[in-house]
Amino acid sequence: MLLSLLILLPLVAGLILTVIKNDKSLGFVGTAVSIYNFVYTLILLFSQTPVDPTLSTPWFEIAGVPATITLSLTGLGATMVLLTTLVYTLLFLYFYSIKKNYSNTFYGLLLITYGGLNGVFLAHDLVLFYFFWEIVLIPIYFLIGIWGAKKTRISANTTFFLYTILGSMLMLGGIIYIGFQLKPESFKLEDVMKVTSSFGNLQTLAWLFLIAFAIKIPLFPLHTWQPAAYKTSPTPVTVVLSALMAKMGLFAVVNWYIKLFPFTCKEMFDNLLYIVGFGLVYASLIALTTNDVKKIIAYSSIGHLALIFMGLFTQSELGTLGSYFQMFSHGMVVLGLWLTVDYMQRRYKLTDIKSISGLATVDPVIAVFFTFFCLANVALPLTSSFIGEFMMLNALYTYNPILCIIGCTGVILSAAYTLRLSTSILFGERENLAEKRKKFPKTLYLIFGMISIIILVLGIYPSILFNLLQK
Amino acid sequence: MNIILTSALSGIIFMFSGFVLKDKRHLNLLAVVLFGAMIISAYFQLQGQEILQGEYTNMLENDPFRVLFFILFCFIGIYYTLVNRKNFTKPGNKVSDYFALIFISFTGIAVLASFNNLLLMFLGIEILSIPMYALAGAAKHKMKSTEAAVKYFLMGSFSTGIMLMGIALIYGASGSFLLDNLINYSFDFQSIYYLGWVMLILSLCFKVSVAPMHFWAPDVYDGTPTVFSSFMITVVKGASFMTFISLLSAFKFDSEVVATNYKFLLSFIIILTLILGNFSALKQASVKRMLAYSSVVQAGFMMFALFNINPESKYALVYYTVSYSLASIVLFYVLTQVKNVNYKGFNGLAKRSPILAFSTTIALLSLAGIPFTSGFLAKFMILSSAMEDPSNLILVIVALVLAVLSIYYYIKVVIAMYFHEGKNKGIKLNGFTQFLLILGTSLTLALGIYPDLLKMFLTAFVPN
Repeated sequence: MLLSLLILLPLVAGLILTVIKNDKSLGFVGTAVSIYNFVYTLILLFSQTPVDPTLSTPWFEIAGVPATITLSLTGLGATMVLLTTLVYTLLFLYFYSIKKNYSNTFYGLLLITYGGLNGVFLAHDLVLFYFFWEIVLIPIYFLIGIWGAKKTRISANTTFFLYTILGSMLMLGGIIYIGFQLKPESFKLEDVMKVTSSFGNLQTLAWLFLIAFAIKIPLFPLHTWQPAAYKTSPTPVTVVLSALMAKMGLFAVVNWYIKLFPFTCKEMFDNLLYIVGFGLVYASLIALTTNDVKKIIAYSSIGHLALIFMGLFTQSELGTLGSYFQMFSHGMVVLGLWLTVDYMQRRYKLTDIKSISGLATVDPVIAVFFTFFCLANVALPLTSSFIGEFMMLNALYTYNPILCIIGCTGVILSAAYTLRLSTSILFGERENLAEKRKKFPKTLYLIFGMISIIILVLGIYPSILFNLLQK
Repeated sequence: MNIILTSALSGIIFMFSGFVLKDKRHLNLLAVVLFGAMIISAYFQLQGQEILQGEYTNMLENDPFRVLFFILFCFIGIYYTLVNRKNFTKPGNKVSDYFALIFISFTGIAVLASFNNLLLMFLGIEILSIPMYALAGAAKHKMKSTEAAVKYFLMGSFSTGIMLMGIALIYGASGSFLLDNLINYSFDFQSIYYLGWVMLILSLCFKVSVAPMHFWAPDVYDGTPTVFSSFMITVVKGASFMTFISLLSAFKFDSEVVATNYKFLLSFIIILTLILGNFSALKQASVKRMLAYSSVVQAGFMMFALFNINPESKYALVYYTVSYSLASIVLFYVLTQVKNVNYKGFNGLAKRSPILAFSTTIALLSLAGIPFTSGFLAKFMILSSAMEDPSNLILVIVALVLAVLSIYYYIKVVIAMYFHEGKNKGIKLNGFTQFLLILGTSLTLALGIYPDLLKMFLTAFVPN
């Protein structure tokens, strides 16, 4: 019962905030909920007295196959919940410190997404999982549609919505097939695993699920909705999209796809990984040529996620563990990048890399933080990304050296475009920047500092996370 | 027999109520009371306490499934009457006559809920349809309404002809009208027998408005005054489906070939309906017309229940009807409130009438089949009932992919309401209407989260 609080608390708070008619900003509710959930997750994960990490109650039954409410805080799911609560806490603290008040509906919708995300990471029942998988989408749709960039918000948003719904619909077909043709005892993960492993050839079914997940991640060639959506959304929503929602896709691959179709995976994957590898290089090359800051980070995200996906399918413990680690690490790094970019957008009207330059002389503090997050994005040693990428590339080499070469190319390209991004904004002649130095808010030291410390600590002492992952 | 008597009596009461009750509020109240009386009589029928109990040479049967369905129609009728209580004067001022027609069509539904005989089914279908032809033309001064009435009547009579022919052929082959005896047909007339069934199926396809017999539907639903199209696409369509499923449960496959052909016919109808309906709805500029086409699409989904007729698929159909009716009544109510039924008429609605916009959104999401609304579980159940046969996977996938198209035209309304600025005037709702809209919305959500609510509600009427 305690576990469901992680989902219900933000969901209910979000619903109330969305519906309430009040001009006074109630953003502190969001902050309180996320801090509470973060602390609560920490207690659940690290307490000495073992807490029962699962919950299971019957829900409803269709044609003799019951769907249940089964939640479980274990393994990768636990790490992802930790990431979600952490990202949301920092995000709400960030709102607090930049003194930008969005309306209550905005906070409410963000909180509903929060509940949905936690639900996806906790659900161990196929139908329940599908419920949360979809409910995350609806508030995001309204967030982009109402607060997105004026010009593109409707077109980009509709593309994003329909694209992801298309994936979900394919998955729904798969769920219906599993439930009412293969007839498991219930929709619980273990029961579904029993039936799918006893049937031999489930290629079609596996594809249905894979396409749905690949659209969410997004993987080449199903990524076309992503850059426009990232560019259009207000930055807090972009944070949720890239730091958390992309992880939803990867998490679903780990928790559902690989577990349900273990045999099909092995046969399908050699060719698929080449396509994903191509996507990695392709996205990195676009990031190298485009000038829009948000788009560079969006494409860089596509590249990194493709590499994580490749790591998952090396079928070695090293590779999968590296991928899990990198999923957490990428969430933190991308959070830092987006928040610094958001700050620069607000303060210095940053739009593309040509719009300003020489920022380092005007505002050295943000320059330091931005450079640090850029370096973490490049996976410099001592940052957490290095550990993950090193493990994944290592495993890729044993699996298939060609794929490792492709992966390394991606890493090199990522260094190229990230440095291009940071140098052209921070250094060079001062352009389009007011002489007057504005003071850097103190609370932002705390937020950016915390993100940096987490990245550094995980880079130096990664065992903290490994212990949690192997629990 | 109870339900037939009470609903016929209600119709007659309303025919004369115009003389006594001048205030239309009293008429609404009377309608609700009579619906209540019908529910009570249905309850007693389920308990086995019937007025005029008799054998009726097996023409009538007391089928709990259909009586429960009838009870649900009465509840939908109550909700419909209350939500639209101020809209009945819009087509004209003969409110008592409209109610009389609505209650006479309920008599048809009551007959359809009890038939055990093809002729009685025919009678029920006719009693259900003829008042609808009249209601379609209720707005006499409007060209579109008259056009709808004429079109509906001509096409309806045409399909009735097909149905009669089908019944005649089946009678010729089997020598009986009783559903249970149909299977004992003479093998010399096998081709005639099956031809008869195909004709029956096609004529019922007309009644539920699925392709290839759907061409009347958009024009009629669009032309009919909005209050009455709301009734047509919810209760009338649901009742037609109830007839369809109980008729087809008498259709036994006596060979593999028949089963294959039946499946092929059904798949063909479904695919054609979904493709034609979705692609036509995509291009509409008027929301009312879009909803008319979307009702064709929804009927296509409801057809999935006919693949394997068993208690589960019947329940799925009931659930689908309830969920679809709740959403449609809300949406058509909104249509009567906006000045302009084009997408532009919805611009900026969210700012001015947040409750209306919110319930519209939930209703649309329910039609689109998004989780946490009853529409999702309705689709889930109805598709799962067709999944006994693994080759149906492709059909299900095609239906779901086409559903993405439907989401596109549903969210166009949401986009207009929330993301566009508009100069339209705000719509003021009084407290009771707000309550009803919120009630409908919360029922949609509650059924979407805990679907067993409906089952619990239904079992309350069944004797142990």
